[in-house]
Amino acid sequence: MYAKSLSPFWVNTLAIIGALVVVVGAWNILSLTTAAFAHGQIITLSANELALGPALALDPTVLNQLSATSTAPLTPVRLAIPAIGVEATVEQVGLKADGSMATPSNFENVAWYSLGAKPGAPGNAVIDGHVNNALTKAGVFEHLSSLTLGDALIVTDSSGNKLSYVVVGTQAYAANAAPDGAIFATSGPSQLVLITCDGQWDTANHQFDKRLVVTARLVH
Amino acid sequence: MSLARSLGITLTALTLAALPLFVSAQSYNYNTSAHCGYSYPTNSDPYGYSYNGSVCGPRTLLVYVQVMNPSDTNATYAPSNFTVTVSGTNPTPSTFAGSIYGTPVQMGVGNYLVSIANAPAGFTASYSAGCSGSIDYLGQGPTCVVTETSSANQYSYPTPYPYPYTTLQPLTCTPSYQTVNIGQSVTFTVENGIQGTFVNGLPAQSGYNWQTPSRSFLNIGPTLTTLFQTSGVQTVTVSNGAQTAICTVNIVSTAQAVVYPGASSVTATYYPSSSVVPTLPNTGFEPHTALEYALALALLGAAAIASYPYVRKISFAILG
Repeated sequence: MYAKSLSPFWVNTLAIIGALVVVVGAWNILSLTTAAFAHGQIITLSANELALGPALALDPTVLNQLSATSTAPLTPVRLAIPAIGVEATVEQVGLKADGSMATPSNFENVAWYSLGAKPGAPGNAVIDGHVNNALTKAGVFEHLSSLTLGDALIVTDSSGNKLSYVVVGTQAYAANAAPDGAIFATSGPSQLVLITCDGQWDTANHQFDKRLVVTARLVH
Repeated sequence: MSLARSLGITLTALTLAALPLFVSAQSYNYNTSAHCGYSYPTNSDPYGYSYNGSVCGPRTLLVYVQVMNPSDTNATYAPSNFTVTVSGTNPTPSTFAGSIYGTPVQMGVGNYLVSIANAPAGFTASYSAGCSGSIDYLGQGPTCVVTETSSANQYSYPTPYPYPYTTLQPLTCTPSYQTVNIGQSVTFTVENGIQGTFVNGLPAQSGYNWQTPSRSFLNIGPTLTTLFQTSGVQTVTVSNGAQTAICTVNIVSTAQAVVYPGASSVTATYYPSSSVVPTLPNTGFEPHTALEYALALALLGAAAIASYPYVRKISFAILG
């Protein structure tokens, strides 16, 4: 009865809108499912393990990815994470006014904390990246939680020199209870630390309630 | 502090920086294992620290001045209204404005005497035991407390003051960089203390005494710019009145150097070495589902079709 009163225009319009809703809804559900599986892979390590990391037996594929690299300190301009398809430009950042590490200027780049350790130098070279943006678009580190022990990371400087790392640990910390001193350590073994947001959106504080910290050890 | 004042103090510091080199060549290169005699110098050393072929370092006398103002008038005299004169073996400074926070006076071994030169009318000075006597090369330097009391003061006398004066803010020292290359300059800035009194750009009262691994800079302003030729953690000590603060900076060789980018890409300035641990970054935005955006888009489109005839015509043309 209702159908008889609708013109072909409104039937077509409603059909297109309905199809659009179904398609984007299904895409959204698929994304949430993927994220849930990815979160299930988080490996819990203590703060000490964050600094030390377990010994690893590297996959031959990873070894191939790490070939032809050096161990001298460098200023990073590119970061590659083959396991999750990241090939990003590295910006240099310092601190925000609130004392937190600054973030990259867009959602495709990552940012190196240039007031801390350099890649290849003693201590943790810290790189962060966005997990998402406000328009549902993925950030460069959207799939950071998918990394597993032994995955390869490669940083490159402007001259093409490379440093290779393997993931030795991942950990999710409450946003206000992370061991900042250990994460931003400027002494100890040369490591690469990747950081992005994780957990649930905290409406009151306008941020995610956790931070995902991936630690990778320099390969000599 | 204004830019002009900062500039003036910096220029003063740089000008006076050359003086310790001259002094060092003549008298401060002392051998602590050698015996120092008690007699006055007899040779031609203008600073008086050489004895019998060995050299003795200077000692520090601390001079505090407190004032008991008249209780029946509104007159308030400060310690700086009283000029202190120290006689002895080459005291430095020998004449200075009094301070409740204490003024360090460096001098050679031998007899010394502290006196007040220009007390306002009606004030009488009393001197503690440490204001005269003999200073030698052993033990801690003496402390002198001068109390200037007005004859009109009706309060009990003397008022006990804690020495060293304890309400002074702690002296702090901050380097401009935590880590620099060999040969790259670093500026150290000291805050608090009695801060010194500068007249026409020259220190008239206790300035800051700086000690780097290789040089001394005496009685200069609150900033010191220097460079280092040795790698490793280097320490710079600054003293002001009875207080001392220590700065450290890490000097690295060029091969290991942490070369910071230009200021345009670093949002931070520089911090004391103990407070440079950032908190974790916020890299996320409030998530919205695609369904929310699709519905919002659909509602917007429907509203446009309903509200604007031309949108409706275009839509009819497209959708039939």
